[in-house]
Amino acid sequence: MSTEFISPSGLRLDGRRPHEIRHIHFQQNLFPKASGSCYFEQGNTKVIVTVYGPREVTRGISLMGRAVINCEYSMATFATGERRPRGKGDRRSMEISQLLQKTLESVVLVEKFPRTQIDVFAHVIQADGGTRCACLNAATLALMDAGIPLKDFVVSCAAGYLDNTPLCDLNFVEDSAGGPDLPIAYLPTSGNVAMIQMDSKVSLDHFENILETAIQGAKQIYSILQRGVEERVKELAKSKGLS
Amino acid sequence: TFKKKMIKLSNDEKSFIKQSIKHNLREDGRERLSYRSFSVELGTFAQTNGSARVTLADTDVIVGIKAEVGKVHPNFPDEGIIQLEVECSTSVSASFEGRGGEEMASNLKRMLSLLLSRHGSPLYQQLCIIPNQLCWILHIDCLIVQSQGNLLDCLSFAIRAALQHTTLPKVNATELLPEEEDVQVGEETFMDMNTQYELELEGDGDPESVMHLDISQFPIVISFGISEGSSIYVDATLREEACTGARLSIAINEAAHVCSIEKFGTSIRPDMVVSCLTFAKSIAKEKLDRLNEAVSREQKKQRELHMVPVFS
Repeated sequence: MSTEFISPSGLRLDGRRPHEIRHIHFQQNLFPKASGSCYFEQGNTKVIVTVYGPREVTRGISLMGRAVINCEYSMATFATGERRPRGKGDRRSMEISQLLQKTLESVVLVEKFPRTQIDVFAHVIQADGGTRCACLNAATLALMDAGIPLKDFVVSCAAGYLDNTPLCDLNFVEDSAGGPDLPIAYLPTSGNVAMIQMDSKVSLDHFENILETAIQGAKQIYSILQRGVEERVKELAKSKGLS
Repeated sequence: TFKKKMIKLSNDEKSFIKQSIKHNLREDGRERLSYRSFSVELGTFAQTNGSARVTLADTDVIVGIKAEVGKVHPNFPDEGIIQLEVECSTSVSASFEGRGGEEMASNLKRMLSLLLSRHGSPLYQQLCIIPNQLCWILHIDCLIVQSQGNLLDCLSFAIRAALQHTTLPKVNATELLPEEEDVQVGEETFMDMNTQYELELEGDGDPESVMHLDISQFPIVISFGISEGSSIYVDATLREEACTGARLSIAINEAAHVCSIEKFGTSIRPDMVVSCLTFAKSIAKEKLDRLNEAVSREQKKQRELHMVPVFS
């Protein structure tokens, strides 16, 4: 018995339409001790990203003309359905840590902080698909909270293809269904793609459709994040008597 | 010791803090035996059997409990197994990257296990499914999100709240004879080296047919700092912890039974221990009442609301 991912009336398992993203909620500046932080929810996926720096280099060598971005991705033991005793240091976590680093390198203005280190620590406390996307979105917000200058927002969204339909923002069940999973990181102002990955296989005819779905999803996320950040900045300005 | 690495204080600051404790007017204005305010959130994580988040001023911890069925421990054949793990998130400090937080986490795990595990208590016995064979294994996973002192107490509140929130399905386990037929739909087979068991959910997976845990005897921890040999105080902040030589943690339950005592640091006079025990009784009663009240308020809210964002 195969699962139906899209009902006859066009609804997905969680009631969304194929092009709809999940509900997003975020809050910045959770931890006064850190330079910046953000709690981010994308549907049932919940992540916390903490940023420290720019500060003195503790890991590896400092670079002469620029900052080093140091990322770590980890998951809480109770984050997934199956309990994971070791949440960091495993292959998947290392891979996503590197992915975060490479993607953020393309937007952070690292030349402004030579010989320093910027730490970005992502911790997934509940996982329901799209954890790397949620972490990238949260990382952008946490870096902004830390006052680190960025060339652009990084918004990330994954898309897939099931039951002959491109689907936007996959949850865990849809992700594990065996179809393609295409997470992207999108820079809204330039319209460029900063990161793109794909697993499973898909024919070239469908690929462009899926990519476009992911980009549309990222644009939807961007408008939500942009609005939220603007509101917060207005509030901060008001509390400092600037507006 | 491990906590002193996190805070650097000058001698004058240390002396000021010690004097403030002695004069019953601490840095944040509290009296010696007064706690900061705490809040409890339940059921924040849907993937767990039970979960809770407790914040004690700026100290913030999350506890998630997951249950699985397994073989009993040979030394305790008619009890379940409770395993405690602690993890320090990188949001506490940048130095907890990679394996940096492991030392502090394993220290906390060891202390909590010593204070809270009580073989023979109703909770452990309730977790047994078939004596000598099968039992529930509860994995209590603690995540420290922020630390501003007094992690032991905060963790114990969160563990107790999470246990109160935990529900386990009622199972009937029957031993399968070797000639048993294929397993029917709706039942799970648990395989052991020698014996095969068939696990059946009572009530056919009806959400109302669940087992709540008996935490009537489960203790909470009240930690005391003993400054300058004679000033006893509770709920230390990070800075106070860095100046205090001796600490005494007492695990005490609703029946005012002292479940266990752990002492850390420098030596103390025996009458200090007796004083702490006396204070612990009244403080624990008040904290347990407030904790129970917060938990039942949350449970009522859970029944009305569906999903609440964790940090809001």
